[in-house]
Amino acid sequence: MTEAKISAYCHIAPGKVMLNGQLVQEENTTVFAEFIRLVYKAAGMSYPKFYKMDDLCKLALVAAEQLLKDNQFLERHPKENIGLIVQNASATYDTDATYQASIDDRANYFPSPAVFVYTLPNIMLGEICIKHKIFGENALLISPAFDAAALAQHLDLLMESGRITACISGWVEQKNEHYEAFLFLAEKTEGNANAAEHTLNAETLDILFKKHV
Amino acid sequence: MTEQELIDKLRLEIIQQLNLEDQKPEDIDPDAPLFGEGLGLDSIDALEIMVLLEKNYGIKIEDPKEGKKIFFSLRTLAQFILEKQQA
Repeated sequence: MTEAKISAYCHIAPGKVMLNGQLVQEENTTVFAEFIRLVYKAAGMSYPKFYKMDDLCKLALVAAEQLLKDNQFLERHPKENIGLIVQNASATYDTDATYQASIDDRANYFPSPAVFVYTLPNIMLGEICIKHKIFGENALLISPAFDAAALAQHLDLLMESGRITACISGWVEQKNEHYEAFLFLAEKTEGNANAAEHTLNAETLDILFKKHV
Repeated sequence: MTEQELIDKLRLEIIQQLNLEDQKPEDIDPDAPLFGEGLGLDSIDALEIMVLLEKNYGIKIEDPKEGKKIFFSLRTLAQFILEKQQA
């Protein structure tokens, strides 16, 4: 098994943002459209494409931003060795429904290309890769619930194979007005794990995931 | 509708259709390129503008080669719509 650590983790839940277990932003609104805009602005982001994204991508992008904005993670690893492995349960359910609604009425048939491009859940990974110029392995894994064991095993295999030395990983779920993101940075340690940081394994992931619930 | 009135209408429609939330209508220069250096639109936005033309103005662009000229700026787009409406 490869030794790896979790160097940072972030939760976004209705109305609040937590970084490494600490509350960093809390808003009165939990309405996704309002809340995510506040998180985007508070993170100091200036990325006009954000407004064109579907809700799932917005959630994933701002969660990744929380982890990366004051962190040297991207400088510590070659961009082609950074992976992105994320789980989610509902894929792009809301965007699929929006798109379907645009093509239901044959008399008013105006399918939107801009909606259509977001009807694949792995697009959220692509958006993060584009913004941060990450070129490593990426995968979106559909799971009914956060599966720490499967995720830890997947990351271990990728690190063991040498295909990645670091990864942005976790859970990004959005359906109707329910939304939650748990993303973390995993880094191969080569036996130099810092005792103050979390070792990457299923038990640790389970504990960290449940910290915001 | 005059060319200027149509430009003002298109400014609002494009902001709404393309989710350009950070953009104010008056900031869109009618003569600046819509794609690349100007407003920075991309190929998906071009498709969205084609949908907008069909949905709001009943205009279909039959020859994709025409697109580059028509979509150059807000003004060329307005002129194209006016030409089609008067034809």
